[in-house]
Amino acid sequence: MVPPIAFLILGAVVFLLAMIGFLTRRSLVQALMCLELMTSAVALTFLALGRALGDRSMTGMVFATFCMVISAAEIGMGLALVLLYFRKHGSTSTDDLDLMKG
Amino acid sequence: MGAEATSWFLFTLMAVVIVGCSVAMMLSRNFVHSAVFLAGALLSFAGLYALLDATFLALLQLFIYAGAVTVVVVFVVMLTSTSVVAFDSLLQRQTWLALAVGVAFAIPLIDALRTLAAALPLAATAPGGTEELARALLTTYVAPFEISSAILLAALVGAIYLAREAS
Amino acid sequence: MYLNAWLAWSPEIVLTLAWAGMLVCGALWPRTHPYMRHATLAALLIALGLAGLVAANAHSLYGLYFSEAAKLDSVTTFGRLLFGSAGVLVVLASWDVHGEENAVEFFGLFVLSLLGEVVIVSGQNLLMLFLGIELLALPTYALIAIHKTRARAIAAGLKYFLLGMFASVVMLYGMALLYGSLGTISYVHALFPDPSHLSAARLGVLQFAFFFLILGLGFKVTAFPFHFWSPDVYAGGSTQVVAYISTVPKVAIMLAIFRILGPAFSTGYPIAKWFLIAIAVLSMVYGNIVALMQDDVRRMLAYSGVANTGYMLIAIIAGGADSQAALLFFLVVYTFGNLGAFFVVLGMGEDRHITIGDFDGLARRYPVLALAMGCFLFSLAGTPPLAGFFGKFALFKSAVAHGLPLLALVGLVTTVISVGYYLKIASNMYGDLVQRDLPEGRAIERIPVPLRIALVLAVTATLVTGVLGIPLFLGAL
Repeated sequence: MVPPIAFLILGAVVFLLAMIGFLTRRSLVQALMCLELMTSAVALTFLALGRALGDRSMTGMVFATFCMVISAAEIGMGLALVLLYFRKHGSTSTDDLDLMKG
Repeated sequence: MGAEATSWFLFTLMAVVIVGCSVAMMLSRNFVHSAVFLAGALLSFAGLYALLDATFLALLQLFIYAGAVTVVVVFVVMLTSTSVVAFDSLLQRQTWLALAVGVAFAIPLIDALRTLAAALPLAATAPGGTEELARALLTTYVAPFEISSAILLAALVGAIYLAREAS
Repeated sequence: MYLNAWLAWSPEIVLTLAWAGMLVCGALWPRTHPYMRHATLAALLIALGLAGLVAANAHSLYGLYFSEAAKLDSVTTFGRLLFGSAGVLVVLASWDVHGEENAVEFFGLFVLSLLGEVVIVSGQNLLMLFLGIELLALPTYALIAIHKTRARAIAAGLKYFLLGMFASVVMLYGMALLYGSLGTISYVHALFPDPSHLSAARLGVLQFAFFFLILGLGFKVTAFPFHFWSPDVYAGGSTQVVAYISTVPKVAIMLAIFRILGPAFSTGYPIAKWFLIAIAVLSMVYGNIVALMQDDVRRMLAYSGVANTGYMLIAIIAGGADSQAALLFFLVVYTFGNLGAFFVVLGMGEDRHITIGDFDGLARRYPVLALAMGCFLFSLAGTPPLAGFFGKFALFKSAVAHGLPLLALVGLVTTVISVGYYLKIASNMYGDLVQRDLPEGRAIERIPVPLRIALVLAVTATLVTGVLGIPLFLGAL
């Protein structure tokens, strides 16, 4: 049996990796993909924590389920926006967006 | 090979696939390749869920991500631009800075998680399976369950509105 | 029990039914599209009335519902009434602006977003908070870009979406760590227990959890280091929607933060408290100083929003019942002042940048509009006898009462700085008595009647809260 801590560490590593990816890459589609990875890493963390705590109320698993629901909603909305943006601008690079500029 | 060794082998395999696919997805210059790498990483996540005895979630992950999400991503990649967008930013100084900050953050975080996990009593079995999940969703967590339907509806209406060609 | 639940949540049920009905009617009979706004307005007014009735029967209806997932109490009622009134104003301001083909989506998504805020305020566990924030945010991503022909609005929508989603996921990771370190997600009895009851192992993870949670929530309320999306989004999005997202979501999340932190927080967690104090001070200082340098009024209001977030955080850091009263009062003041200021900008022109120069001699050309703008600006600045003065006074007093006099001092000094940029607009409106030619293309088109009604209502609300604030002020002396 693999102990939950192994899953927790993997979750943290993938979460931070995808976070760095989100903040440094230049393509909108890849930014969305990084968001999906982050959400999956969070769901894994919730499952592993539910397992580690031995929580009979199923909170960890329920939260992981809702992570999936939200990320499905999010990707639909995000891709629709990317499509719309592309129709207007003809490019899907985040450079034109200046995400960090205030 | 005992059950213990098998599960460690499967975990290591999927962990390597996830990390490898994530990095390849970010570095790839071709978005279709990126989408395939993403699908690989998300499929391995399904395997990890199964290892944690969350069979239902593993199936959901397979259907929703590997099925629906990846297909939609590939569609949008095809619809928008197959040309390679300038990717010179990726190996610049700021990326190394981000990586350094990430590592500096990861080490204490993982350390804290290890301390926490060591302090918890190890549960021998999973707290519950699909039946318990269903019961929790429809009793304790019925309000969030209903609210999630409104969220999906909002995303649906918003996405259709945005993607529709102007009449 | 079941009947009570139906009655207690009747305002939300009415709004849900209205939304579902609008969607079906809009799809089946396109001729009903022009009446969507009437339906939304009617549904909001009915919901407001029902919320008032529920509050009148507090003794039998208040309590915990849905397996302790949601709580109906005076704070929830406050949220319902404030969000409902702000919703009415936004619907009035959006009356004529959106083409008929957008009506179903615009008003439907708007109502859903309002429902999300009620979920945030009434929720009693982290799952409800997360789902509430998503229900609030997902419709606004589409609403910002509701004018699909405007490139700026689409870019603003995309930026808002990417950073908003990113903040949500970071917050979600914080929630996971909170769940791990506390073993529960419910905050019926305050999420943060007395730290002496927690082992060192749990406290270690709790620090990271708090950091991620505040990072995510800070994005949503535009607190200082996480505010950088707001000026572009405020300047690019459609103005009615910006007026909405700059006020109501912030109010809802502030109320939720107050609920989450609970009484043990301000005494038991010094590191986390200093982290919040740093955010509050930086928000006040940075927001006000940068706002002073802005020429575009929408961007100026965005930075003024950052500063106001800092003021709201003062009450959250201080904690306690008197701070809560001060926070609630300040939130009302901020909501109507900010909504009104954005409505004036909307009235001056939707499609172009409104700069401070546009206000030159406004009082001579449009005396009523200038008077309204002056009322909102001086309320935001906190000049007596308008509502903002009492709001800020109550906030600073609660900070002093809880042993944070320096925080109150920073608030006071930055308030004086903020008068500078509010006064700049006011002096442009009133000070310029020399007859000057109107710059080319800067004439204001006729302001539609519903927007006029919204402006009158916002002015009334600002003045009435000012009058209501006097007892608060006198009681505090």
